[in-house]
Amino acid sequence: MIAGKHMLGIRGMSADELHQILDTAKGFVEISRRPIKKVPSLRGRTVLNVFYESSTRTRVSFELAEKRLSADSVNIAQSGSSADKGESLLDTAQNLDAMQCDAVVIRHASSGAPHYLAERIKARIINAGDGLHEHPTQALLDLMTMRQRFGKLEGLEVAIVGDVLHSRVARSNLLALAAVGAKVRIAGPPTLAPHALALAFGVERASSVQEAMRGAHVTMALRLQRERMVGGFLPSLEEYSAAYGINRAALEGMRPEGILMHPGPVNWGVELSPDVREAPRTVILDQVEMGVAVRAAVLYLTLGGQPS
Amino acid sequence: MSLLIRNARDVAAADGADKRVDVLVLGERIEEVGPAGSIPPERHPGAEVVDATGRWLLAGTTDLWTELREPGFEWEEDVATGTRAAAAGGVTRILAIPDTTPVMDHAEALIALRRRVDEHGAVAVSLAGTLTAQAAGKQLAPVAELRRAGAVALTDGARWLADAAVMRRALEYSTDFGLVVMSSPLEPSLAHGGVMREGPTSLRLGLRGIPRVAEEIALARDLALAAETRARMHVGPLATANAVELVRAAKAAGVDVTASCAAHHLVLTDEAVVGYGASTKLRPPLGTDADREALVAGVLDGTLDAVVSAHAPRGVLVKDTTFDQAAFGASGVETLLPLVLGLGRSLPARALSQLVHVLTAGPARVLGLEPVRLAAGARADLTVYDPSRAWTVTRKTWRSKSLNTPWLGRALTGAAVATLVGGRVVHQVEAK
Repeated sequence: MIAGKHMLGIRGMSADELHQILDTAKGFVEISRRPIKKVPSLRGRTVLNVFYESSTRTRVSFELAEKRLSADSVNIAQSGSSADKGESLLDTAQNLDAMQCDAVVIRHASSGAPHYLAERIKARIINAGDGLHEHPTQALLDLMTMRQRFGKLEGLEVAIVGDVLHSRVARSNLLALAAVGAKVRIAGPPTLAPHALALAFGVERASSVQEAMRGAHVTMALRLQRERMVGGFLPSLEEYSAAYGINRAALEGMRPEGILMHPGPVNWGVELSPDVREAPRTVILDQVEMGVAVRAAVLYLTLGGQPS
Repeated sequence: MSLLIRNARDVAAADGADKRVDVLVLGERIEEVGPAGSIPPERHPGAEVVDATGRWLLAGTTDLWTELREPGFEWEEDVATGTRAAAAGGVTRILAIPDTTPVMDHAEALIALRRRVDEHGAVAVSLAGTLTAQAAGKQLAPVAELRRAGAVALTDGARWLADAAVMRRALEYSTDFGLVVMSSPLEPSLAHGGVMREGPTSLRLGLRGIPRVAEEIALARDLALAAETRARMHVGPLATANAVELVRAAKAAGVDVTASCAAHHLVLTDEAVVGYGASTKLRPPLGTDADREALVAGVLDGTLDAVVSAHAPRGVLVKDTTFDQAAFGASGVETLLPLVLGLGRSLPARALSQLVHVLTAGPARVLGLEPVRLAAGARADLTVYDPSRAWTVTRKTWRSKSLNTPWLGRALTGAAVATLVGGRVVHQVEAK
């Protein structure tokens, strides 16, 4: 049961809890497809969207979810140097608490920032991505997309490809997929998809993208941050694209019904070749649609709603 | 002034023997030591009597790593609070790590600090100068001048001297002056950006890791230079199993090196970081359980000469924040004895004297000091320690200005009930 609790991460959640959220989200998918896309579930509740890191997709997705549930929501965007981010978080926490809001949706560059807030304020905290740690609503929308396609999650074979090391999306998915009984393989440059990480999460590591994708139901490509080059993790983007990029030919190694996912925004020509954009297997826009429904479900449950 | 400590257990006694003693302190020195019951209070009617039944007596407890934060960071700690914290923790001598502003790289800075210590210090304070000018790792500090001003050790603190040529000359240059060169090995390009030990826990938490080899590579270089220059070198605090092994091998090969670890690393592992509490962000970072066991083994077999508190008081501005943004370090001089001596509860009785050694004679020898002995004529630097006294770390029980300790709100067993420095009672708790 997640009702009334913080949503800090996927860690510790059971398959039942995850399926409950997805079941609840199913109802919200239907609402989003109506001409009048609004229900009164969270009327009178206040939600603050606190985004310390720039985000368009996740922020808009949360905002839409809040509006469709009739919550009053306010956005706080903090731009500033990374050095003063951490220091001002204590002040932010105290201010948020004084504003008597019901839920805080937080995106922050520091792993553990939602946990920090949760210990200091009364409102329910929803993690919208913290550092390299977790991005739980992304994993939930990914599960939702897969479950819709395949009718189940247990036993699915999933390849997670790319910069796994720096990806909170990957971490949340690794935990969620393990909980629901899917079989995961990671692949990518050894500097960005290391053996140690596969061991830490109890998954397999394939030595090539092709090997990881072979026979998979799902390939999840991750966004490559260009600044990783500075850290010396990669020789060049061109080399990455040639050795680890996914093109249409690579997709053919999957099962016939296999799908390609990406959390967005995509660097076309880096992690994904432009020729997969229109491929029927590509479900990136389905993921975006599921995102709104899943976030509505998380807001609803976190603020004490009963699962359906 | 005289004081009679009766029926205390002399825990420095080898093989865990339950040796009970009476100790008479007269003025600054120990006047007489005898078996329990041999010094009747009637013979010394003026003496204050401390009944130490069930308590332990330690002589010359010494911490090789206490940051006093004065001058420059007095909102985090100062000479008065830092030394009172030491006294409350049962530590009679500290080495003040020179992480100050102004930097301890010239005589005036040390002389001014000595004056502050004479005025406000509750315990004995040994001074350290920096190893390089401005602790910047480029140019040698004026070693002769620092020694004249009272320095007994040279260190750039947590900043490892990355330039091997400068380190080599610093070691060579210091040999004629009898000062110990202290190095805290962590290779900066490997440690860069890391906030905890790299491993399954850091990967799970999404925190950037410091690989264990960052310590091993830096240490191996230090040991090679120590062997070549024949300088007196101290390395630590160490935190990896391989580091203990490297020191063991260097000592076996005859290198004049001493080594230490920090008390927290004997008790905690990187699992303590789960939950993102910034007080567990330490330098060197907390390691695995295998590392922890290797450090304990290093203490017990004498590979490690000292266990330090790594007392690093840091204020809320730099500590009450997210883990990756927070400063490194924990306030620790008050938990040093309970953490180290508490290990004895899960070890054979004969291990106790070794745990006492790394808190007393071991660190004293690192500084080139004659260890304080429990014997007539010795300086009365004594700690009466109650091994079963339970206490909880709270703002009220804590003496350091900074509360950045992993033990906040947690119960500890064992506490100093009386601390004497030069015969003066600098800490005493009322009998319960």
